[in-house]
Amino acid sequence: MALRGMGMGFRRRGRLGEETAERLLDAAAGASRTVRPSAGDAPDRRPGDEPASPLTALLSAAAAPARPGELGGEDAALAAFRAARPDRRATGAPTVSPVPDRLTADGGAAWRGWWSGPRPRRRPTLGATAWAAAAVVTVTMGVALAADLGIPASTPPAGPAPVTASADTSAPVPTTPASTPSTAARTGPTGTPGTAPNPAGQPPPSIRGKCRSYLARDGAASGKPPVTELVAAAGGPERVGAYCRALLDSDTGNGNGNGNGKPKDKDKDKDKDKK
Amino acid sequence: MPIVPNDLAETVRSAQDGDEDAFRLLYRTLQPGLLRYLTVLVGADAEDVASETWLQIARDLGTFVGGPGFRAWATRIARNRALDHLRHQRRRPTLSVPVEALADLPSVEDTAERASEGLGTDAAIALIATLPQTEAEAVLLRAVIGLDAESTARVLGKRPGAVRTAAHRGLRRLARLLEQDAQAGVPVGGAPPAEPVDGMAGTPTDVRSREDVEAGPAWR
Repeated sequence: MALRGMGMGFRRRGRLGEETAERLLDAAAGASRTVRPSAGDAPDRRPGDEPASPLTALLSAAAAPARPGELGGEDAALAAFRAARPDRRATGAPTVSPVPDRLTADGGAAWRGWWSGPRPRRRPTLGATAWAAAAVVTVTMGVALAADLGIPASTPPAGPAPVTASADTSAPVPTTPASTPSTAARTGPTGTPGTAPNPAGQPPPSIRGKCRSYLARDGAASGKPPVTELVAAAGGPERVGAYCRALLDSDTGNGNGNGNGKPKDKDKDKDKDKK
Repeated sequence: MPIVPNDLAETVRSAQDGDEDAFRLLYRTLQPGLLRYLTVLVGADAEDVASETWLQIARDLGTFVGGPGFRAWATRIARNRALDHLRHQRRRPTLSVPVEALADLPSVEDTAERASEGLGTDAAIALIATLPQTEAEAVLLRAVIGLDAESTARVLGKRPGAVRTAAHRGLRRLARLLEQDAQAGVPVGGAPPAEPVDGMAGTPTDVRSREDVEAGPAWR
């Protein structure tokens, strides 16, 4: 059979040479690194490729483009992405371009940085710098921003200021829904002075409904696991209850009806045992 | 060599600026490889661990300081989540793909065609999963996730030379398995590798027992 014939190529020398191995790995790596804008994109196989050895074929199959079933968590991942942004703003962390721009000039610093995890957000100097920048930008941009949004300029800018700063430094016109209407629609109002800050940010409306049904069936006590969107929005299965109560409480306007006004504690969940 | 170190840098920056489409692109680019890698590490729980991985990626995206390694950074998160998962589950990594599926390992003529249809990927991953743990991880990170040897070494907490050796051994073992398959005409999955290297058996090593699991702050 043909498979045997192709396999002999490797056998003849007794072992796969180092160079050949590296070449195979690089080829497969190159193919798998290709950015694929959508799941249905064609594979990276070129028509003129030489007939694949069994090993090459195996690696190609292993690195084949996404199959539809593999991207099932996309909505949950995006929900997490949306949910995470208000949090970073609330901590006053330097979220965006200022840090990367400065550090990536030095490749070493970037590498050292990538496993340093959330340390930057605890660094007081950076935080203070961010707040100072936020204050300056808010003072200078606040009026224009408010005018853009049709908000009276007298409204005092409060908590959400940092996102204003970061949005302003990274995008010249933060409130214009340029490339991502949904993002702009979501972050715009949140960063607007005068909008009541929601402890959980601006989750999609469907989250509220799912929260209601989750709480209605008595949450965890029902034995049914919460839906993935809720888990994603809350940051973990064991936090869904608290998250939902806080979210729905904030909707009714009285904040902490049951004294559980803290939907998620981002720093805690890293060390916390997951059930 | 087709490897572009900063292939995702622009996309990552846009995502850090809040661009949802950029984050979606990151997900679609990285998720298949991560999921297959996690399948080898945690078996049927791979999707759950992948969800946790993306939660953490979304949460910590702002702390990633750019540079060459977003792919490696994300992979490291996935691996940490998998190791946490295994610690909590107190069980060995298993295959989610039944051994019988290995019988469907496509023939050479079919492989290219079938891989493009999404067939054969499970069988290929399952075959790689029969390698000793380090070899399987090295091959997956290099060939499926697309890391270079240096990044793979960082993710695995090993020296680049050790990772190269592991990947080469893994490929040789895979080539032998494919050869056996061709000669014997039997499913390759059932038989352990004929010549264990350095006394390593064909069964995956228990991840939890590896010293690098507790490699210290670098893993946190």
